[in-house]
Parts: sequence; C-alpha cells; structure tokens
Amino acid sequence: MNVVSVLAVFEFSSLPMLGWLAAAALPWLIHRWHRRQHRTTSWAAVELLLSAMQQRARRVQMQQWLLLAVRTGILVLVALAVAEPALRQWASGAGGEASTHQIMVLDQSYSMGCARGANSRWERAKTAAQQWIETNTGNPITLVTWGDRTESVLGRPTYDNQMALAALEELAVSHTTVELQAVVRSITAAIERAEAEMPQVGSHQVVFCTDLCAPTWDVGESEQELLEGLSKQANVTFVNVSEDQTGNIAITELLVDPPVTLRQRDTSIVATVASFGDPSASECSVELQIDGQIVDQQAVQLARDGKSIVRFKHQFIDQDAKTLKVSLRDHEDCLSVDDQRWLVVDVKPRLRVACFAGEVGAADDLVRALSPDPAGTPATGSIAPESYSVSRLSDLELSHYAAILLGSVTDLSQREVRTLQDYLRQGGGLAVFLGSEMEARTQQQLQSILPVHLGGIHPMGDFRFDPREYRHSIVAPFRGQTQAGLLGVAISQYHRLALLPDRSSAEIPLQFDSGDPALVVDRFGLGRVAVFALPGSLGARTSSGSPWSSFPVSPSFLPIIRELVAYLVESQVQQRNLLVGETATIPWPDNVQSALVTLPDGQRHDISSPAAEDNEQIVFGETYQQGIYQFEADGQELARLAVNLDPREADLRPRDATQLPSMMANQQAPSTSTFSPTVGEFLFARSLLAGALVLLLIEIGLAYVLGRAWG
Amino acid sequence: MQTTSTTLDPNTLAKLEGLELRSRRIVDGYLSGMHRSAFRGQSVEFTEHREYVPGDDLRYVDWKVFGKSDKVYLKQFEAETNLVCYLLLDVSESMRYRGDKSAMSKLEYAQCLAAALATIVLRQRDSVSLATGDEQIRELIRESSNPSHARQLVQVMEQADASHGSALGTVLHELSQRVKRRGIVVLLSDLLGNVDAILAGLNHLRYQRHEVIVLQTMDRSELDFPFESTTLFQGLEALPEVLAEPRGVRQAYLDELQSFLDRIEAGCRSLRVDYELLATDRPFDEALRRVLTQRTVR
Repeated sequence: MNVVSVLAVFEFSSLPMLGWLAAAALPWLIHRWHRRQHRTTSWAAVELLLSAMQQRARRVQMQQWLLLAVRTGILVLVALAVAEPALRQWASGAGGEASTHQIMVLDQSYSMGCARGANSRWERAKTAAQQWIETNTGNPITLVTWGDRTESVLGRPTYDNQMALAALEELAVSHTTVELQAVVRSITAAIERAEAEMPQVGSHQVVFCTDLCAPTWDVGESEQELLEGLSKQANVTFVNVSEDQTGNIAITELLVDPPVTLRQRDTSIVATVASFGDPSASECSVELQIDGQIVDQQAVQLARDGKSIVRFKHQFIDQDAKTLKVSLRDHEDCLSVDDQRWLVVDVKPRLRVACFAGEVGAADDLVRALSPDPAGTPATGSIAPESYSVSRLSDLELSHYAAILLGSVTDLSQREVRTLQDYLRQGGGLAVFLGSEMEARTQQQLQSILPVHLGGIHPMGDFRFDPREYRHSIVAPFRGQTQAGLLGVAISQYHRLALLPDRSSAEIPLQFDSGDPALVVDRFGLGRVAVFALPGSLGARTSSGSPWSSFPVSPSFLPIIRELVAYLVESQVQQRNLLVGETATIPWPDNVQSALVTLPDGQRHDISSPAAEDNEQIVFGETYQQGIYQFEADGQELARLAVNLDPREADLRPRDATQLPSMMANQQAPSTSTFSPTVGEFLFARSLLAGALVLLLIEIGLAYVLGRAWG
Repeated sequence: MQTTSTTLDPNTLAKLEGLELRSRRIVDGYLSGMHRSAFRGQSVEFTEHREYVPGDDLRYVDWKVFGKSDKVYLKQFEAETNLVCYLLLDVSESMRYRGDKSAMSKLEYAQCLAAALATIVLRQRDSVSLATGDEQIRELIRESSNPSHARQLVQVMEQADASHGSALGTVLHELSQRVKRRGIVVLLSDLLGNVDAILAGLNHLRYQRHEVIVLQTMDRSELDFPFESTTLFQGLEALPEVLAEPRGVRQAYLDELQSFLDRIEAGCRSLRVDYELLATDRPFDEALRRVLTQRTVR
C-alpha cells in the first residue's frame, strides 16, 4: 500500500495544510546541502581515515538516517495534525482512493424543538450537521430531511459543501412525528442513486442527528431488520442531541362528549394534560377558547408521569362549525408547541337520521329506537329520525342527514345505489338491515357498497349474540352489563355474511354464537357503512311464521341502534380533526372550479377542481402545521379542519442508546458550538501531536547520544 | 625576555627565512641551556694527548696534565672522528601536509630538526651524512665532519620537492646497502605507509649494526582530528578523496591512529630502535631534548 492509498483512508478538514508535508523533506535537504557545503583539505593519513570510515561509516550513516527519519517524522506528524485528519472509512478499513458517501439525516420531529438553555435540540443537530459538512473534503453529501417530507433535500449527492450548507440553513423543525421505515427507504434510495451515478463512491456513512425520542426510535422487529439491512450497505451512526433534563407537559387529547355536538345541549369539552418525567410545575392553568374567545379557565394539578383530565361544560347557542382551542397558561417548559390543541366541531340543532323501509313497517322499530316520541309529534331528543319508503331514496337530499338506515330493502335501482355511494363518499353514514327477501340484482349492487358477501339465509336454529369481548365501541357500553339483554336475544335465522377479502378495514363488532358475523362495519369514501344480518323490525318472518329474532323488542335494541348511529356519524367529526401529516379529505361542492385553503400560518394555497369526474373530493395532504385549516370557495367556507400534534412525541425522554441496534455507533452530542462531529478527528489530531512530541523527545535524546558518540 | 622554548617555537621559527638560519637558531637556543653533548664520548676511547691550538674546545683540555706539565694538552679520542650520523629525511608527498593551525609542515619541521641535529653533530666534529627519500633515495650526501658541510646539507634538504609517494621500507633497505660504515641513523618521517615494510627496513639497518633513532613527525591535526564540519579529505600521494562527517568518524580515526602508533612503537622497541613521536607544534628544544636525553640515558 503506498502513501497515497494510506492517505486516501483519511479525509482532512484543512487540506491545504497538507502542504506542510513538503517541510518533511527539509531535514534531508539540509543534510544534503550540508554535505555539499563541505570544506576541502588535503590529508596525509588517508589510509587511517579510510580504515576508520570502513568501520564506522555504515554505522554513522545508519545513525544519521535514523536521526533524519525522526526529524522527518516530527514534521510529517505535525503537518498531518494541522490538516485535521479523520478516517474516511472506519469499519471496512482502507478503501483505496474511493470516496465515502456521507448521508446526513436530520430528525425534524417536533420534539427536536425542545430548548433547555441556549440551544434547542434542533439547533444542536444543525450545528453538528453544519460542522460535519464544513469538515468534509472530497466526499459526496446527501442531506436527508426526516420530517414533513422524508427525502433527499438536494435530489442527489453533491460534492458542493456550500450547496449542502445552504440547503441545511433553510431547514426547520417541523410539527410532525417521523417514522424509521420511511427514512430508511429514503436512505436506501440515496445509496442506490449514489452507486448508480457515482462509481467513485466506495462506501456510505449514515449519520442520524436525532434526539432518540419515541415513537421514532421504538425499534421493533421490522425496524431492527431495516437497520440491519442498512448497516450492510453503510456505516450507521447517530448523534444524540437530547439533554439530560427532559420533563415536559403537553395537552395530548381534546374531545367533546358526546361526539356529536348539538345546539343548546350540554357538551363536555375534555382535555387531557399529560406530564412526562418531572413536570416543571405542580400546577398550571388550562384555558378554553371557542372561535378565539376565552370562555373558561381551570387549574390542574400535575404529577410525575401522570395524566390530568380537565372537563369544561359548555352549551353552544348557534349551529355552525366551531373552533375550540385549549392551551396551557401560567406554565413554562422546554417545548411549547405541544401546549395547545384544537378541535373543530359542527354544531347541529339535531341529528337528522333518515330511516327507509323496504317493506311496510320495516323501519318503525328503528325510528322508535332513535326517538321515543310518539309518531307524528316533533322530536324532542337529540336525534330526529324521519321515516320514508325506500322509493323516496332518490328524491331526498341525503346530505342533510347525518345517517341513513335501510330496513329490509328488497329492491334498489342502480340510480338509488349510486345515490347511496355518493352519499357515503361525502362522509355520510349508512346502516343496512337485511330483510327476508332481497332481489339478486339488489344484492349484487349493494355488494359494491357493503364490505361483505351475502351468503343467503342460514337454516333455522337457536342462536345468540356474541359481543366479542365488547371490543368495539358499538357494543362497548354492554361490557359488564350482562343483564342488559344483549346476550339474551333469541335468534332463529340470519343472513350469512362473509367478509370481502379486499375490505381489510372491515370490523365485526357483533357476531352470532355460531361464529358468523352479525354486524359488520367499514369505511366507505369519507363515510361509514354497516350491515346487520338481521331485520330491523319484527315484521320479517321465518317460514314458520315467527320473527327472525327478538332483537327489535330486546332492551338492548335501543342502545345498539343509537351506538350504531353514533358510530356512523363519528367519522364526520373525525374528518374535521386530524393529526399532523394526515390527509384531509372533504367533499368537493358542485359547480365550484377552484377553492382556497388558508394554513395556520396564514399562507393560502389554491386548489383546482379534480379532473376526474368520479373524484369529487378535495384531498389535501400538506397538513404539516398544527392549527386550523380553512377551505373556501366563492367566499363561502367549505370546511374547517383542526390539525394537532401526535401526542406520542411529547415524551421527550430519549430512548436508551445502549438498547439500539448494535450496528449503530453512538456519538456524543455537541455541548458547545465548537463541537465537531467528525469521527475521531480531534482524537487523530491529538494523537498525531502526541506522536510528534514523543518523536521530539526521542530526537533530543538521540541527538545527545549520537553527538557524544561522534565527539 | 623571551624564554628558550618560546624562541624555539615552530610558530616563531617559521617567521625566519631559510632552513640554515632556523637550524642555527635552534642549535644556539638549545645549546645555551645544555651542559654537555649527548653525542660526546659515546662509542669512543681515549688514545693520546695533543697540544692545544687556538680554536680547540676547552672542554677537552686535560687539566691534570696541565697541572703537572703546565702545558695545555687536549685529550685525543680514538673515535672522535669516527662517529657518523646518517640523517634520513622522508620527502614523500605526505610530509608536505600542514594543518590549518600549524606553522610548519611535517617536512619543514623535520628539515629544521635534521638541520639542527646536523649542526650539533658537526659542532662535535663528527661526521654527518644526509639522505632524502620517498619511494627511493633521492639524494645521498656523503658523511663529512667539515663544519661547512652543514650548508650543503641544508641546500639539499631545501631542494626536496616532496611530490612523490612513499615506500619508506624500500628506502631503508637501500640505505642499508649503500652505507657501509657503522653509525647512527636518524630517520625523520611521518611513517605513513606500510608499517611492516618500514619495520623490515629498520631491522635491516639494525642488522648492519647501525644504531637507529626514529623521529616520527606528525601534525597536530593528524593526532587530534579536530575537524567539525563535513570535510572532503583529498588524499596526498595519489590516495583517493574521502568525504567524511568528522564527528562521526573521529573516535574511529583516533583508534586507528593509536593502533598505528602502537605498532610502530612496539616494533621499534623490539628492534631496540629509539622512537620519538614529535608533533609539529612542539618547540624544537623540547624535541631535541627528548631525542638527545634518550641518547644520554643509553
């Protein structure tokens, strides 16, 4: 291995300083110059001198060369030290003259905004990356953002350090949480691109600048496999920029109870205040704002690693979309971005539910379950059911209804099915109660909506409900209530339902004790759809003339139907409240060509009408900021969304670095602005200087000894 | 008032022009501190008295006879006119060397010493012969006791060009063959050459029953090797050039030199040859004293 290939193993922060290596030739030049500057004298005792020379010349020459080598070594080591070397490859050893692809990954999750003291974690991470880039020489750099967008900032590796520094300067901490899988994919793509476009790249080095917070670094089996795969392609290391004191207080949840907000009814606004680690205070205030107006404030006690529930009672007067904001007051901690939370609620006068009957009386029991008011009197409850024949399905404006219930439908036209599909795509809720008869054509058309295949009527028998441990919200109220009647419902026959394989999101809240599903729910478009394997009334009869089940007259019928309706409309509330990074989908209004969205920071973006005829939704994925997003068209508000932080990131405590995969080498975080992350750079420089010092001492001793030996 | 040593210092004598003048100064300076000659009475026997004539050395007056007969008689020694001193001067090129701090070259120093010895011998009315040689005998002046003989010897010595190599062994053998009369051979040389050959030549002289005195003249630089910086040593007598780092080889050189000198001295001792190492920076009276004192002791 020659000197060049040895030097190629290193990279130098101050490459011009290597010019001082030329000084290493100085002792030899002086030696040669000294020999050329000899005096000349005639000499008689040449034979004696020659004899002495023969004895000593070789030894003297070796001593001279040794002294010269030591002096040269001193100069070489000092020159290398001032050039600040760093190992180019630290696992695979010398790699010839190939360069090392440097991949800097910057964790932009919102926990990186934690600032305890002068610098935030993000600033420390940027400082580390900046110094890393500045000390890079001759290696391509890829800067990978790991936040709103997990991607290579520059598109491709660059040798231009200034370009990388400029790109780094523009980066900022985000409001997102980040996933390891996404960034590993991005890193792998960058590696593949470098290998395809840069044949001179001999190895890759990945450096994560991160605070090691959850949920990013909860490394499971799949993440472990990813990292192991990555470690086979590159050297993987991380810079931990977290600090020792990591206590934090955050509002982690905000909801309304009940989830459907009705005008002039008591509504609970529930905020959860969580403290992670040691809170900075034992008490703080929580403030509630509605549409920008402070309406209430409560004090809350804080405990270590505890959660405190703050419940505000409020009654909305107007029916409209309302923006609720809860924030911490009289409180200071290292991370302020998670001290508030928003919620958008659509206040309605009542919950309108349309109950369509395929047969006479097929929806009566459903209507009674939703509203106990006598037939023909105005509804006084929160739900206002309306009963119609299924023939009215195409006539009514379905968007006015929060949910639609179909009882024992036998026949539906294609137009009616399409109307239901449109309704669901816009966010509506549909529940289908299967009757005794159904046209095969209708079955086929409904299967485009329902998540199940209709397998015919099960032979008669004696069946009971199985609530499947009450896991689903629809049946959850029955948990521990064995006398509530759900388990006592007698069932003679039912429709066989088989889950469609392509509807993986379908759930079975309730099943028969035979194992067949009794109730299947799923998403459809923006809405939700449910199918019950039993009729919704006692009107449907078996071949023996008995009702299919006693369910419509069971005490459990009313709460099940109401919980089912609540489930169907819940999606409409959830559509208005997202986490950062989730995609917002809202109905695209008719006859509107363009819309405008106003972001929380006041920026506005135009949204064009979708080109596809069947795409009637606004899909907006750039929810990278927490706060309120307002969609408008023709001066009218289309929708208002609240986007909040993922509360998991509020726990600022870093994961134990020793429990990370072993292939990841740790590197200490910069504690000062002079931190240099280059691996072992200062160690090398210091070692070189120490070596030079040792050689200097050797030279002094050697010169003394040889000087004496030479007289 | 200058001391004798100071006046006989090579640095002082070097300022004098001419070997004759230098030798006279040396002899005068040396004899002014002497009480008796080292050569006197050696290997001679009393034979008869003769009557004093003006100019005779009063040291040889026989005072006992004078007291008895009131006549001045001088003691007549049988060998008084038989002592022959052969001065063999090495005029090889190596003798031309003179160190930077030396006032005289080895040859000049040896010439002065030889001339002084010749003068002393002639003043004792003994005979002096001179031979110069390098690879062979270049000049051989027959012995004579005539005081004017000194001038001839000086002239011969001054004409030596010292431009040839050295084969002192050969010269000694040749001298052994050419001089038949037994005498004292005084060799003035740096002895740089084949030591075995030189000792063989000396042995030849001893075999011819000559008494031999070896005066090895060396420059102070050759003895101390005082060089510091890198030096190109240009060999005399067609020897090669040597580029050396003096500090590195000094000790080895001094060891070699000492070995060389030890061999010479041991060889001389075994042949019963008087040996003196004379550095060219030493005063001549010291050199003469060492030579002549040694003779007296014997």
